[in-house]
Amino acid sequence: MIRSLAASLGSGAAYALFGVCIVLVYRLTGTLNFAITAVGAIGAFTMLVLVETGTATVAAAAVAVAMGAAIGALMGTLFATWFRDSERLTRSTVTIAVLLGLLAAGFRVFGDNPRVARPFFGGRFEEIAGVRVTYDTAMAVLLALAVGTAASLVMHRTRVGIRLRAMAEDSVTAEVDGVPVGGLTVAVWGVSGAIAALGAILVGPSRPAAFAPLVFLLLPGLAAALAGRFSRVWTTLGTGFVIAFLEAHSGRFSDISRYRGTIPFLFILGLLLWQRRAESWDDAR
Amino acid sequence: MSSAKPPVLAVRDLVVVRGGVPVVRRVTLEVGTSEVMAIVGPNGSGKTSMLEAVSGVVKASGGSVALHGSDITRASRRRRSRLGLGHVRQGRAVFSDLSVEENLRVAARDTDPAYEMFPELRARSSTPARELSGGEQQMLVLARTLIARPSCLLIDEISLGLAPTVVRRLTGAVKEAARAGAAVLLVEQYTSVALDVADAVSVLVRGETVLSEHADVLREDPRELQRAYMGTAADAAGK
Repeated sequence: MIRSLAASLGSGAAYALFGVCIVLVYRLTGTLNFAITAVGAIGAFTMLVLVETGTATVAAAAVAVAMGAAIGALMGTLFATWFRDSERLTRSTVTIAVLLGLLAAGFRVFGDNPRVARPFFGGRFEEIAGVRVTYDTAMAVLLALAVGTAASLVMHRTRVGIRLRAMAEDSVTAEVDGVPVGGLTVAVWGVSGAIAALGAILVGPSRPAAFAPLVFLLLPGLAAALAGRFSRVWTTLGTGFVIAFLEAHSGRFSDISRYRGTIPFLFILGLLLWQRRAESWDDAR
Repeated sequence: MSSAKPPVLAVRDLVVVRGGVPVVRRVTLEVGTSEVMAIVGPNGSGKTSMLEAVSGVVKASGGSVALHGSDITRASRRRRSRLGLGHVRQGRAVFSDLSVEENLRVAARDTDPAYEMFPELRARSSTPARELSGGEQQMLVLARTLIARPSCLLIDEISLGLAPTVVRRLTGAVKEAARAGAAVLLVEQYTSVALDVADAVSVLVRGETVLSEHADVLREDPRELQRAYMGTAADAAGK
């Protein structure tokens, strides 16, 4: 159990960060961003290419995060101008088109061969209760917690956060009251792009870094965000770690380990059924 | 040669089209410093659409809007706000998930003036706005707009569904804002409220101005206002 937990922390941090990105963008701009992991994957692969060409890891990571932020901000600009008054469904559908575009661009530029992601801390680790926890994993968990804490603090303790929540509730009234809705929308998308790139970088050392599988980490991110009802940051973070733990733990049972990729699907399905239980039971009565 | 100071708000031949139907037709009006102009008219006469075109909530299909002499017809809502336009929207437009204090902080860092205006809000500063009474919500919306110190204030149906005592509190704050220099354009369904606050009154019927007069004149002889308001409403009902 503890080994599964330790093994899942890196992936859990990435799922949690992707989930938080989805929650932030949905809660503050009303758009379900299906392209978020593609943005992260482009950031992470930019880092891998830079490291391969001799750039220092930290510098490459900074460029990758900046790349994620830039792509996110570009998407935000698109939504703040062209799709400003569109319905949620339209805006969310547009992100699927963006996802397909980024997937195609990613394949073209980076190919689909797995690349080796070197650990930040050269594989150093500490043994806790007989389990090796790498410095990379510890950093991933700390970063996920830091992002969750920062998001909560900004949303509830700062004037920018208050204005963001006002904008999320009624963007027209907020703008009439002087809130810079366009600028804040671009900023939210930019920050979510940066966090997504961070998530994709963190997951790199814990699994083969191929472009498409990285993009399809969207599913556990969506499952985590769904558990948080697309609004609760801490529930989303926690669920990201739970899904990763379930995946890791199922790997210990040879009969089911080959199906562990279906866990996010099953999680989403189970959650939706659970959330609909009251209606179903009422109808059955 | 001295040039006259432009009015705070100047609306010229404003046209608003909604769903292909013109709902405001070539409306022209001016509001100066410390002046309160009330727009009255029956339901569906285009009052709200006119205010929304002035603040940029909807686009004007024709005509122009100028604030302090600057054309803002195509300006963004935020630019209009930065230039001094405040808009109390219809329907108690509080941010319901935010507390009273947070609602106020959306508009300004210093929220004390709001609590001086409506002291009862201070005791409820941490209460979510959705839990306030209708009167408190309207006080909150008005206070939120006023603490941004707008030079031109648009107010849509401030009295809607509220007790007369609450309406008096609200109109008192509007008069105070006007005394402090704000130009106020007030949309009202109740002529009694309009005549109590306004210096000038316009009657809007089916998107057109059918009467524009000093409030003093109408207070002395309200029959003309009743004719414009009720006569055209009766015409519309007859159709």
